Amino acid sequence: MSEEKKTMATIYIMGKAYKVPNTLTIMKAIEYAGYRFIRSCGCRGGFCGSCTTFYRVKNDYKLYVDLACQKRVEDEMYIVQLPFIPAEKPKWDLSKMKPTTDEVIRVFPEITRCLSCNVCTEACPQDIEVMRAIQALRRGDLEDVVNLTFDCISCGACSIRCPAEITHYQVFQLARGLYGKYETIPAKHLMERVKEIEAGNFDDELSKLMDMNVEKLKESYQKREIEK
Amino acid sequence: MKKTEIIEGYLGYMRESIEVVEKTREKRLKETFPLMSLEEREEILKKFHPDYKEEAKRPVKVGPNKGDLMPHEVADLLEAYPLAKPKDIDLSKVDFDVDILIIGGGGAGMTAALWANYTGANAENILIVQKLRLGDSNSIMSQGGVQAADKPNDGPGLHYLDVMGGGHFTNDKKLARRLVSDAPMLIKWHEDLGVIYDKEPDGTMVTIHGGGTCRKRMHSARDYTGLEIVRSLKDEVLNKNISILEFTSAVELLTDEQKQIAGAVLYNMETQEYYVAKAKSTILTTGGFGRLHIQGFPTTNHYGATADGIILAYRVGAELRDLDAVQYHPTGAAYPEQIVGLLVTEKVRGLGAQPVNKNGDQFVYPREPRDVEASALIRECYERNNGIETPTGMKGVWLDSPMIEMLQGEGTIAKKLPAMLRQYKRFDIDMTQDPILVFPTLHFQNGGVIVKENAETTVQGLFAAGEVTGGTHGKNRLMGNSILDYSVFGRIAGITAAKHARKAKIGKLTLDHVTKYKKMLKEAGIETDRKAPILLPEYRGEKVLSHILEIF
Amino acid sequence: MVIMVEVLYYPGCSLKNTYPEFEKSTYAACEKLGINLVEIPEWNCCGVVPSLAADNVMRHLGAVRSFINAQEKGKEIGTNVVVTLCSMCYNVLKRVNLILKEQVDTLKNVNDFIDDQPDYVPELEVVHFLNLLKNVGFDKLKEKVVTPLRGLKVAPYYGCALLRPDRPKGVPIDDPENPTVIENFIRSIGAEPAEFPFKTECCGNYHIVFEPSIVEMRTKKIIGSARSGKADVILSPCPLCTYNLQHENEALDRSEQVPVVFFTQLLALSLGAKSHLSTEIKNQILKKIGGKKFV
Repeated sequence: MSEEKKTMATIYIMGKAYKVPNTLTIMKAIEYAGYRFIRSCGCRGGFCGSCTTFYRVKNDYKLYVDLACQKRVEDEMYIVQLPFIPAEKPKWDLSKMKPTTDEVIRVFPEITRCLSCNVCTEACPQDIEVMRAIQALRRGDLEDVVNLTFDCISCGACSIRCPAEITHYQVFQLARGLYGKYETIPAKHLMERVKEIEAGNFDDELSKLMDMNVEKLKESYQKREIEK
Repeated sequence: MKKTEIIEGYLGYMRESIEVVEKTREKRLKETFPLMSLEEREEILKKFHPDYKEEAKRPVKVGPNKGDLMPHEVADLLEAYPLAKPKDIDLSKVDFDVDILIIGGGGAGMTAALWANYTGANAENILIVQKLRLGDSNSIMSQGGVQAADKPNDGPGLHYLDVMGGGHFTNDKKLARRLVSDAPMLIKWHEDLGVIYDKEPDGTMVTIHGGGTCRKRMHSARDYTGLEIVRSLKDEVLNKNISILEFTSAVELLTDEQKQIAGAVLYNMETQEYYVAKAKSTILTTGGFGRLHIQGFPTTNHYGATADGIILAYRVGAELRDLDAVQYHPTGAAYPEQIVGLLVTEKVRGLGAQPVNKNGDQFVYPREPRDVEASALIRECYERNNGIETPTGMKGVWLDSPMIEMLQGEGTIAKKLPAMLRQYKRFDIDMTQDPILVFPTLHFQNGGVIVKENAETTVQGLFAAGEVTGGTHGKNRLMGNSILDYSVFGRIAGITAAKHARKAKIGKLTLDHVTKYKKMLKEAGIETDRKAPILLPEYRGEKVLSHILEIF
Repeated sequence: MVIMVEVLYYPGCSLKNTYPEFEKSTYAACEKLGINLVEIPEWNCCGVVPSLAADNVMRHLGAVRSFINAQEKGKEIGTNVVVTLCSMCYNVLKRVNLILKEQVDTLKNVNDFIDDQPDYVPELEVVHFLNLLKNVGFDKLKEKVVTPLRGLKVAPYYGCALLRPDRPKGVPIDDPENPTVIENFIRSIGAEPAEFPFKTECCGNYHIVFEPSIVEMRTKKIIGSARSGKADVILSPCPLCTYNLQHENEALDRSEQVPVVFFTQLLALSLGAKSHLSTEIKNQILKKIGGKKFV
């Protein structure tokens, strides 16, 4: 197996040029260049939304957004990171609210300023149709919002770009919370099982299992049937 | 095709192997590789599991667990000097005086904070200290699901058996029982919070198998289970106005003259100042140790998983257990290089994908408990040489994901594994059409701080929950029981800590235990520059590190 | 129902959230009339507030995206007519469509900007529901009435968004100074239009948010005028006017109040369809026209 020769790329971290191996992700490239992350680094796996990174590439006027932990560097890339979105989190009590889109708009009235410009969708590193989700709220369709925004990791790229200054990730969290609490059907078998456990229906069985010595326990373990 | 040409994400020689895998797929769809017997499990573990490598561990020289075997990386930190000198900390000026101090703001920490609040602790008297942002933790990265025995054909007894069997019968029985008994209640609580679990149209939970389960009891929220739960917990914590300090670590616990825990010395990661936090109850929910890269393995863990909690606990004399039991998740991504080590959830196997070697053959039952499964993959690559080698020297086997579409219907991966589908698509790999390359990756700290069923550690005033604790899972945790662990015991820790705080009386703050620890290290002949906890791993480039000047 | 007319339908946000009865009564009436309203898929908010405030094309994107979706759906079902109920949406959609028809540069600008959807070719016609009825014919409408609202005096309130501004040309649904289409509608369903000099006065619009005294002053005069004309109800074509008028009604004594209903609710009532009126108002109307039981 021939080793991949280390080809270097030049990246500009907030304007300063560094040569880094071109197979690295932006995150690893920044570390290679000598920066130790305190901000802008979390799960390193694409789930936490802490490493939102804006960049341009030479000879291209367009502004791009991606997650530093997933995006591989490009030669002549100009980057800056966004470790935090300035926004107050409004406090709410789901138990005192109704599962309507009106309720969400009441908490975030700036949603009504949406121009339908679609910049939010273009900014999203998770391929979420952000504008569609906001408009679904305007159209009264809470379920649509949930399905469209399930993959949201609250990276905030959409919110920073939005001319109407909506903080989409907060809006979507409220919408999903209301839907989850009121619009999904509570699992009946779950409620019943909780009651059975409270009533002590399984106490004897568990005590018996706990009292078994290791050999007996192993036997019971090996005898158990695996559901198909 | 050229061997080094890249075709739809994979190099030419990998494509050749994929063609072989495709040829055997029809046959394999109908086959089930047999389960190992308990004896076979023991054997394969002894020979291939990284935990059993004698050279990889040593007996720790100091402390309550003196003489116990631990991985070098962990022993190095227990045999290390404190970050802060006691004489540099002015304990007479208290910056925070709270009822409950929670060190670590992940799934366990947030659950503990909420239940402390529900059971009477005021929000302003609960302080969560979090090294990164609230919610940044291993909890956010769980994908596949959480176990709970809530279906009619299942019960806590069967769940208990699975837990004990998975742990090789070394688990703390009381903790195991508590885990399985409280499980349905915690899922119900999540439902009430607004967590959107996958459900049938009539509300029935969609549940599947995990490794080592005898019933389909894994609940999930697509493959974002961890994220969905954590973002709901985080929202609730913020709504309740619970106090939070982000980008602040705990570098040392505090004690008083009664030798009970009295809070901690905190460190602002950004301004480098310390704070003195006095607390009636202190809960450790610091998570795992993946970023120690035990035996050089890549890891699925988040950036801050550096074992801080067990070091803090050890310094005040808390007992630990099973730290030599390191869980390697059988399937971490092995290719492409950018995502090496990242989690490929067990759910992929739960939905029907089989591990397959370079010749297109199965070599292990797809859902053995994790340590057994990992050992089988290591054997396949390193003894039998049936793995694929990547350009970086990493070895791996195929996980035949296209089988999922065939067994469960086209579109299943898009519906149930959207995060993973996207992750591979970024690198031009379509996992609905091609298998993915996997190899074990460092994943979970099976052992940790010893706790009682009520979350008390062996030191008064100190509680612990989640991955930092040991005993619940014995020597090996099953999939879906870590979310359950932090939920069940996070809740218990919060309730117990709140109760304790109502009666506790804290005396004069002291760091005497740190002075004692340093003396203990010197007496054991430990001369080293090592300091612990490390707080964050060091990933800066070699060239840079060799030229560092600390002048500013 | 025998479908005689099939049109694209733009609901607007108010009808989906605060005033569902406006839409529901319309659907019920259309069932009787043989009109099939095909809701535009994925329509966007018309952007009414920012759109009314500025001449800036950026503010019209919501309307344009809705036109694009309407255009594509219209190709499927074979129509280029977009019908709307809400006066404010009507005003925005009508004006934006006219601007795009007139200004080639603006159209190109907008189409270039929206690079994720097909181009809009401005061949749609925006029609207010009242004009749809008028085009079908009020005499034909009269034939379908099963319960003529004889004895009911209705104040024909137009508000302003249906009539102003006439820029670009073509916005008003009728003569802006002395419109008659609503009065004709009222007659066709058997009721009598009341004398109502304040019929085209602005209710105060969004001033209800920050300067409610303006709205109070104006709506008081409008309701007073309806009362002087001995109106039993005020017919409203607009959710915002309805909100403002109801707001003022609540401040008045019972004897001074004049209930406000959407025109489609009276339409549905007269056609024997579900009107989604409140029980209280239905009974008041019942009393006026004498004895018959309603759906």
